[in-house]
This record gives sequence, C-alpha cells and structure tokens, in this order.
Amino acid sequence: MYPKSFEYLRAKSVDQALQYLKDNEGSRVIAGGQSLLPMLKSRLYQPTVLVDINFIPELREVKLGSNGDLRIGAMVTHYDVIENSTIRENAPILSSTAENIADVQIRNRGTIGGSICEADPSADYLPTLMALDARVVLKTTESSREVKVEDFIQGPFETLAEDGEMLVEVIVPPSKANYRVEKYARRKADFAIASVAAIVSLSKDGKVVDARIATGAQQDKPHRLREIESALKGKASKSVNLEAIIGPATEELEPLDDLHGGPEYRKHVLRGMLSRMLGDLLSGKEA
Amino acid sequence: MTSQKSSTESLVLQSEKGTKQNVGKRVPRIEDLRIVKGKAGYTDDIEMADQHYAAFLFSPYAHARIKSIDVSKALELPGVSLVITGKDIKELTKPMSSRAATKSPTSHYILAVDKVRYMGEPVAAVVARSKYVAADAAELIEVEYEPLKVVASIEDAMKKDAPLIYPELDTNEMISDHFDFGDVKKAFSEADKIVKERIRIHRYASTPLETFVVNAYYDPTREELTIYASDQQPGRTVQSVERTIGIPSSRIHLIVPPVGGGFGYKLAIWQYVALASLMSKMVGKPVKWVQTRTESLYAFHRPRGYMDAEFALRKDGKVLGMKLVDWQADANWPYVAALYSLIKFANMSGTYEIRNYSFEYHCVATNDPPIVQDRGVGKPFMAFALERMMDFSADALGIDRVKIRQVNSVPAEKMPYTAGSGEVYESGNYPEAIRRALEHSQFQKKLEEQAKFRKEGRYVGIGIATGIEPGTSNLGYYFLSKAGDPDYNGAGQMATVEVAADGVVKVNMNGPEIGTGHVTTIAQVVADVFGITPEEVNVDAWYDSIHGHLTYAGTYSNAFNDVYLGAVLTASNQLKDKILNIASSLLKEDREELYLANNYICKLENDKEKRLVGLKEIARISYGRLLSFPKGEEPGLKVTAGYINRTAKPFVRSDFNVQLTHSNSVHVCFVEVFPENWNIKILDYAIVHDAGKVINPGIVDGLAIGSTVSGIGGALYEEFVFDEQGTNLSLTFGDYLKPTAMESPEIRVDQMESPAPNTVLGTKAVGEGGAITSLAAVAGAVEDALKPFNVKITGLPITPEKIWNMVKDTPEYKKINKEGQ
Amino acid sequence: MTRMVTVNLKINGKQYSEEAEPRLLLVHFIRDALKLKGTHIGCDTGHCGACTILWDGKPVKSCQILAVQAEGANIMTVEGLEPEDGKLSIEQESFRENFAQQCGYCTPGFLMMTRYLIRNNEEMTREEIREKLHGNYCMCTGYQQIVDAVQDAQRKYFATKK
Ligand SMILES: Cc1cc2nc3c(=O)[nH]c(=O)nc-3n(C[C@H](O)[C@H](O)[C@H](O)COP(=O)(O)OP(=O)(O)OC[C@H]3O[C@@H](n4cnc5c(N)ncnc54)[C@H](O)[C@@H]3O)c2cc1C
Ligand code: FES
Ligand code: FES
Repeated sequence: MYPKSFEYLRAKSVDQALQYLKDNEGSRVIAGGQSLLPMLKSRLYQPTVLVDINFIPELREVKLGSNGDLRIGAMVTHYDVIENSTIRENAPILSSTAENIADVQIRNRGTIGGSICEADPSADYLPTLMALDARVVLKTTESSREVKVEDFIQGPFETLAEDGEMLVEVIVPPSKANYRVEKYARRKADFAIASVAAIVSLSKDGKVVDARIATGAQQDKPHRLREIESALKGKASKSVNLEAIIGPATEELEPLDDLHGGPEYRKHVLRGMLSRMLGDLLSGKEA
Repeated sequence: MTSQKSSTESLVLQSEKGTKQNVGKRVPRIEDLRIVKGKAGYTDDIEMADQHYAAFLFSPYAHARIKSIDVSKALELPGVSLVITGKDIKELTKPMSSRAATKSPTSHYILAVDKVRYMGEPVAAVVARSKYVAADAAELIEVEYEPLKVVASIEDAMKKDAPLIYPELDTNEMISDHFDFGDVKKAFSEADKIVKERIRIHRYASTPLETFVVNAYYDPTREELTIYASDQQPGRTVQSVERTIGIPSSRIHLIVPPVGGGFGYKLAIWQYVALASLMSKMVGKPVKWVQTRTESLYAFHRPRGYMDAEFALRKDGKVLGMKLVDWQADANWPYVAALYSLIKFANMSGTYEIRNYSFEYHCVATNDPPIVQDRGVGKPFMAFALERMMDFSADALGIDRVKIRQVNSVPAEKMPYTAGSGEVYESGNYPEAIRRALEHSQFQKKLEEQAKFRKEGRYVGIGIATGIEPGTSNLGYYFLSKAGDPDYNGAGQMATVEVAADGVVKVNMNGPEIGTGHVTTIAQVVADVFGITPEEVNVDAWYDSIHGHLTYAGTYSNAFNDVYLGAVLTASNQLKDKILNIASSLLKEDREELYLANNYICKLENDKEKRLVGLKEIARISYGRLLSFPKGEEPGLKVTAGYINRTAKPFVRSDFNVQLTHSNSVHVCFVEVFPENWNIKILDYAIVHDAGKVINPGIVDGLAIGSTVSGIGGALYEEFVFDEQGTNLSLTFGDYLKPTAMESPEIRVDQMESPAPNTVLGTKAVGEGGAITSLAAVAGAVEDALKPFNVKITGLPITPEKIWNMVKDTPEYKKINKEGQ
Repeated sequence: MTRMVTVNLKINGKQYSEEAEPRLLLVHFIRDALKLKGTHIGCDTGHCGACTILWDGKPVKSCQILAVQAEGANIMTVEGLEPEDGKLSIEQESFRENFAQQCGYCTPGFLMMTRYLIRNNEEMTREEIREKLHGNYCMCTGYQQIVDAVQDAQRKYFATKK
C-alpha cells in the first residue's frame, strides 16, 4: 500500500503551521501519523499537502496552569501521558487511559491531539476527557478558541475543527478522585467494543459527592452517561441499587454494529462493566 | 513393501555410526545465525538491475460482468511501461484447469476475462518503474462492472435457478462422490443409539507474515526466464507457468530464497508468478510484485462448509459406524477444487477403530474467494467433526468424554493398523498417548479444580481431543477423481549433496525452506553421515531448479521428514560410498575398515582412531589432480539422488492411501469463560505429540506449539466475514484477528516417539498437528465450561458474542443475572 | 512529480543524507534507498510490528512514519544490534538459543523490542512480556519460545550489570 503523492511542509512553530494550513487548500496536519498513515496507505485520504507538526517543541509541553488546570500540548504522546509525572499526579485517570491504547510502539508515536482530532467513536481518550470535563484549544492564524471535548467531537471521525484550524492544547481540570477506566476488546490493541471512564468522589460519610461517567464504542461518538451520574449524586453509596439505575439509563443507547460486536452485545458488555466498576467505586475501593 | 523395507533398513544402517552424534539433539538452528542479523535474504530483499514493479487492480465485486476497461489514463502516467487486462490474457495465455475435480471450466484465466467471480480477483495489471507509480497507475484504470447476482452460500449455489459460476459446466457442483467402507447398514441396525449433528467450518487462513513476492526476468539473450518467488511448490509452479503462458519448463529457472512462512498459502503464488513472467517478457524488464497485506487477505483461505455426521453407537461407547456427508464451498478456483474433501476422508476415523463408514462429498462453486491447501488442508475440519461427534456421543450415552476415546482407540497391538478406507497407520500407540496426556495435563487435578471453581460461580472447562496428522502426500486423491490417470505422486524428492573443491560438505535439499528448520535438521543428519558437526555442513536454504526437481517437488503436505530426509540421506550415503572407495584405492586400504570422522578418512588401529587423509585432500584430488584419481571412478564429488517412499498402495476404490506417515497427538485444554463479557481465557494447554523419531526437539516443540496457536486462532478469533454481496469485510489485521502473544497460552509439550517403519530415520510429520487437533480441544473445553447453560458448540470461531447469544435465554443465565438484562 | 526532500538522519551510527519523495514510507526508505533489508513489512495498518525500529532509543513502527519525518532522527535497525567483535548481541544469542524463530520474518521486529524492553524494565514476568509484545505478530512460533528468549535475554543483560 503506497500513499498518493502530496507536498510536505515541516512547520517549526505553531504560527508557521497555521500559516501553512491557511495557505494550502486541502492540507492536513500530520501529528503522530498512527491513524493517518494507514489512511494514506489505503488512499482513503488523499491530502494535497501535509503539514508536519512534529518539529514544534512547544506542542510537546505539559504545564500546570495558574488555576491548577493541566495544559497538555497536542503533540504529547501516549507514552508521555503514561510517564509524565505532572499528568500522573493531577489526572491519574488520563495516564491509566493511555495504557489501554494500542501497543508500545504506537504509544511512542501517537499523540493526544491526534487521537482527539481523529474522533474515532472507540478511541480510549475520549470518554476519559469527557469525564474530566476537558477542553481543547483550537487556533487559526486569526483566532483562538476553547471548546469542551464533549462538544468538539461531533460524530464518527467528525469534529468541530474547521479548515485551517489546529488543536494546540488540551486543558484538563485536575482530578484526583477515585476512578476506574477500562476498555473491553478481544485483543488489547483493538479498538474498544465497550469502554468506560468513571470518576466518583465520596464524602467521609459515604455520600456520592461527584460522579462523572462516560462511555465509548457505543454510539456514533463517546458521551457522558448523565442519567446515571445524577441518579448517583447525593446518594449514600451503600444504598444505591446499581442494577436499577444502569438498566433503564442504558436502554436508549444505540450502539455501533460491526463485525467486532453487534449493538445488543455491546450494550450487554457495557452494563456489566458499569455495574462492576461503579460497584467498586461506590464501595470506595482504590484503583 | 518388503523391498522398500530392506532398502530403508540399509539406509539407516549406513548412517548408524554417526546417528548418535547429532540426530535427536537440541542443536541451535544454523539458519538463525542469519535470521537474527537481519540477513535471511527473503525474496523481497533481492533487486535486479533496472528493476520494475507490478501492481494489480482487484475486483471490488464478488460477481460481476466486466463491461469495459479503460487503461488510457494509466498508460499516460510517466514511468508506466505496460498495462494488461483480460483481453490480452485471453489471447496470450491458456485458462487454468481443474486438478482434482472431474469437471473443468474453460473460462478461468490468471486475470479475469469478461467476468469476475470473487472480490479481489485481479482484473488488470500494470508495470511501472516504482511500486508507488505502479499503484498510482492501477488506481487510474477505469473498469465498468455490471454486478451479477451473488452466490453467497452452498445453499444458494445448489438452488435450481442459481446463477452459475461457470456457465460452461451447467452446474455449480464440480464434483461429488460416495464411498462405503465396511458394512454401514449393519452397524446402524445394531446401534443402541444414533447421534446426529451438522458440524460447520468457517473461513480462516494461516496468513504468513511475508506475503506473496515474485520477481521475474525474461532474458531475451538466453531466452530464459529467471524467477525468484516465495513459493512453496516450485515443481508445480514451473509446470503451471509453462502451461498457462507457454514458456517451456526447460527454459524456466526458478529460485526460492528462504520463505517468510508458508503454511500452504504459498502454494497459490503460481498465478502471480505466471503474470509477472508474462509481463516481464512483454516489457523486457525484471518485474517484481510484492503483495500487500490487504491483497493477501482477499483470497486463498480454507473453505467454509459443513458435515452432516451420524454415529451408530453401542451402549458402552463403541462407535459401530458413521455416515458422513460433507459439503464444501471450495470450487471457486478450479485449480484446487475438491482437495479439501478428498484429502480428509481416508483419515476420517482418526485414531479410532471405526470399521464401518460412508463418506459422501460435494464440492460447490460459489462467489467465495479461492481457497488454498492451508495448513492441514481438510484435516483440521476432519478432526473437529470427528472429535465433536465423540463428545456428543459420550454425552448422549451418559459416559465420560475421555472414556469414549479410550474405548474406541485403535489398540496398540493392532499397529500397524489398516483403517476402513485402506489408509495404513504405520506406527503409534494411541491408548498410551491418551494415558500420557491425562498424566501430563494433570487431568484429575483439573477436574477437582473445576469442581471447586464451579461452586464459586466460575465457568471453567476441560476439553480433550485426539488427532491424526498425516504426512507425505501420495496424491492418492487424484486416483479417486481422475481414474485412469493414476501417475501423480508427491511422495518423492531429489537432493544434491557434494563435497566441494574446498572440502566442505554442501547440501541442496531441492525444495523451499519455509521456516520449519530444514537447514539445521538436514545438517544434523548429514553431519552424522560424514562424521562432522552440523555447523560444518553447508545446507543451502535456497531452492534452485537448476539442481533438478521432481514434478511435484515442494515443501508441503508435511513431507519433509519423510522424502526430503530420504533424498538427502540417499545422496549423502552414495557420496560417502564414493569417497571411501576413492580413499581406499588411493591409500590401498581395505574399504570396509575406512570411515569418515572430523573431516578425515580414518580407520581404527589398536582401538585408536587414526586419521589417514583429509576430506579436503580427497576433494583436491577428485576435482583437480585427475592423474592421481583412481581409475573406474568419476571425478567430482557431487551426487543428486532421488527418493520415493514406496509404501503407497496402488489405487483401488475400497482400499487406498492418501498419505503415508501418520503422527498423532492428544490435546488437553483448560479454559475459563467470564460471564461479564463471555470472553474466553485459556488457562492451561497440554499436548502429547507423537511424530516418530525427533531429530531436533527444539524445532519439533516449536512446530507443535506454533501450529497449535494457529488452531487456537481459528477456534477463537479468526474468520473472514462476508456480507450478502460477497464483500470480504476482513481485509486488515484490525478486522481479521490473529492471536498475539497475549492471547496465546503457555503450552506444555510432551513428545512421544513411535518411529515410523517406512521412513529413513523413523521420522514423521510435524508441521500440522496442532492445527488439526486443537480446534476440538478448545471447543470441547468451552462447551464444558458452559455446561450449566447446556449449550452445544458445532461451529467456530467461538466468539464471546456468539456465546452470549447462546446462553442469554437459558435458566442458568437468568439465575446469575437476577435483573434479567 | 512532487518536490523531493532531503533527509538527514543517523542509522546504526552512520550519518545519511538522501533524497526522498514526501510520500515514501520510512520502511521503504530504509529497505529500498539505504538497502538495509533486515527491517520487514507484514501489514498495511500498523498492526504487525515487523517493521519495528528504535527511534531515539524507543521502538516505533517504521511503516507508520514518513521518511521525511525522520529528519535528524537517530535510528537503530536490526543491522545495528551486532556488536563490533562479530559476536551475537545478548538479544540475538537468546533468540537463537531458545528457538525463538521459525521463518524469521518477524524476528528483527521482536529483537528491536527486546533490545528496548530488557533495558527499560525491571525483571518482567512472562505475562508482562506477552503484554509488551502484543504489537508484534508472529505467525509461526505461537510466541512461547519468543517469550523464553526475552526472559533469557533480560537475565543475561542483568548479569552483565552486576
Ligand atoms: C494498530 C493500531 C491500534 C490502535 N489502537 C488504538 C486503541 O486501542 N485505542 C485508541 O484510542 N487508539 C488506537 N489507535 C490510534 C492511535 O491512538 C493514534 O495514535 C491516534 O488515534 C491518532 O493520533 P496521531 O497522533 O497518531 O494522529 P495522526 O494520525 O497524525 O492524525 C489523526 C487525524 O487527526 C488530525 N490531526 C492530528 N493532530 C491534529 C492537530 N493537532 N490539529 C488538527 N488536526 C490534527 C490529522 O490530520 C488526522 O486527520 C491505534 C492505531 C493503530 C495503528
Ligand atoms: S509493517 Fe509496520 S506494523 Fe506491520
Ligand atoms: S517466525 Fe515466522 S513470523 Fe515469526
């Protein structure tokens, strides 16, 4: 499999990258290339110009904002998300999520920005970032805006990013609360059949103070399970009847249907995961 | 048989002196010295001067008429030197024909002509200066198709008004036949119980990591075609290239560098060898084609099909008789149609003494893509069907699944045993293999663990299966379908052994090296003949047709341990004889007292070894100093010898051999199924494998483990999925799931050795066993784990989703999911 | 025709400066332009790991990267494993001693992983090794002897550190 010809522009700074994107119609960013390369090889994508953002050091930075928010550069690799101590401390769920992605080699190259922009309904980061209420920073030569990841993802392989717009940063409000993040796939490198990211904080007396739960590989895009969240919030963790909540709250889901799993099966798996993972969180078991 | 026996004996005797040295030892592989350095030298590593590249355009439809093809845009692209389509092919080549099937279509060419019959059939081909440009050009070819009604299943194909895959045949059934062995009627009339089931097999394949690679150059100055190809059956390829594109076989020079995995897949490369050769002749350039992974997943799988099996049982578990009706969708490529059915039925009774059985088979053409003789050909399905039926029979009679196998095993004292079909099982001890498997797997302990786990609500199960692993194709099945033409035989091989002018022992096995340790195995055997170390033997990992080959030469059908070693040993012994004769007359020593050791001609003097003259010196004399060379001997030290395993019987319908050696194995599999998602984990896997004499345990263990994991892939993960339009949905390794290291269990292998009396060293087949026996062991284990749900597994792969669909309406399921999800 | 781009990179300690078309995959660059044939190709989609190389010391899949992106990279391929004295490296020796290859087509990829894993992990269990190798396919061995080899290589490596 051999990609079709394209021009290649190596950007040395964010501004240069944005300029390249603006000046070249039909151009596309190449980040880690781990999703893009297979598409180029199969010629499903035929960009005329590729703008390489691998040579922009600032996109690889991880910083802690003055308000305590984590600011993760678009080009931070899955490997770095696992290893970076600032991320591990402030959003351990994100590091755990990255461990579920693909394999050692792909994690060394693939990036958080690329994964978000790819918007695969089964991508591992998305439910976690949604549960974290993360935002992305999008830039063009003229503008800069912040969008919640939940809004940014529009559908399968579809985002709000417009032509000439680049994702430069992911902003993650810190979360040190107890969490669970899992994906179920037949083999580890496979995209999820069902995935769940859940963050639950309990008060000293066992009340659910906060619950943020998101799922992937179910609908055309990952999403929060707000019905479950609100059913949990304020409840005494011991008195929750999870089955009574999960069943109805997932009834309306219309999961994906492909050769890796039909909709009913995906839903079945999701329910099993939710009940076990939330059960653990409600009982206060540390990850 | 008797004459063969004596010649076999003499071969073994001659090598006896050295046999203790290297044969049987875990000698580290010699070929690995190159492999670990990245210098194995596969076909794609070879570049010719002015190398050009081919690309193909493949059909996106499973069944369509080709209305028109416009190649003008492709031809205009700079760097493109040739584009051909079916039109050219019809003019320039002959269609392929059936080998085994009685009916032969006349309209199937190496490129589609007028119509496509499967998704992925090549419809046009390009030659260009680079692979990238060739791909660009292929994309520019415009084809107008008129989709035809797709024949998506055997049932579809057999309907009265079904579209015909080959209209010239007036039917989609390419061949069918019925055989009766023993007295089936009587067996069924005496039965205490009859068990009946339809067992299915799906499409899966071995997918070697190296895809097809061919590099062909027609040299007009010598009028010779030189081909490098990752080819498993070069003897056949030469014939097929000659027949389709018309270059005489004497002008075809075919070289096979080490192959990056064969598994039968590489038997099908000849079509693309023919195409690359033809295009090279047309453009006057060397043409290379490297198949992409997606292209490799289009076709050449195992066929899907089913078997209707009926077992007549006595109360105590004895199988009195079986009726088997086999349907395979394997006729979509005339070249291999019928092989799957024909190969399996002679061994249908497996390791059991079942005298009475009938076997009926039907090979049907559909729009499924072509098949190939994938690892074990029909035998994995054969064993799967038989072993599943054994389990179902045991369950129906209320007896133990192990017991029924013990009751029916061919008793040791009946070996060599002639099966109902006539197939001769030359050696083995099947009851002992079961006994050892129970011990080796700690079966009793497993049963106790299982009982404990079940109480804890865990679903753990044990599966046991036995399997026959036939080796060396006698091509006996051709006798059945092509009566009156009984001259095909694959039970022979040639080999070349020489002592080169520098005194080094060199061997060419005249067959492809596909990764199964042939270089080292041969080096061990030859080292023992010449009294040197394996490292000193230079075994060529390349097949080269220049050395001469038999028509059906190739590394397939598990024949290596029989005929390759037979040929190598024959040539080695002839050469050694010659060397000792030369030495005897040069040294004026008694020939009988001389022997070879450590590169010297030696003799014993007062029980001490005396080195008389070096092998190097003998080589110098034999090649150069011809004046001192003894009269009556031919100069040079090179022998090419042929070998045939002559134990095959001449063909009679009621009594024949399909294969000539028979290894056997018992697999015990221990699994857990997790009720959250119904995923399956193999907790333990134990194998007792009897492949006769083991020459290198490191290699043989590896083949047993590797072939088992390939079977586990077929049992749990791998399937080519098609939609109703015959579209293959499994065209990447993201959709066609191979087991990785994480899904593969730790496997414990216990080698048992029952030497074969009809091979030169007592060796037998080792490459396919795991792929044959594992399917039923895994299925049996999963079914056992799910016993509380009372499910029956009659098809594969067993996916968590399928399990969930089987269990979700059962009482046990409702019990564990109180909320009734 | 698209513009050619010059790529300057280091492979196995040697500096190269070669022209490449932007669309050229790094694996093709290594195999076809630099003639280092030990790095293989087994798929189109980044699954099989046959093309694994070390990039600044870390394993990546060279079919998943464009050659022009390797500007300034420090790469090691299987050809770079062998020590200068012509002996086998620890990884190579362990793979040979443990029969960790059959056809050998996957081996260079596994060797590069081994080079990385044994040096960057505490003693790994068999299960951990299997987990870390799941991005490399072997169609022949069933992986067991590969796991043996990696375990053995790590033991040998630790012994050199003592
Ligand atoms: C074999 C395999 C297995 C995998 N398994 C998993 C898995 O289990 N879970 C999982 O989540 N993922 C998996 N992936 C995907 C992997 O995580 C990718 O790394 C990721 O999806 C894309 O990141 P990237 O940096 O490689 O992006 P690229 O491939 O470079 O880009 C992806 C897309 O995003 C665009 N893009 C990239 N960065 C930006 C930016 N900053 N601004 C605007 N647009 C941008 C590109 O133009 C492109 O369209 C797998 C991939 C492979 C090949
Ligand atoms: S060839 Fe690179 S991952 Fe398969
Ligand atoms: S040894 Fe053949 S693919 Fe691994």
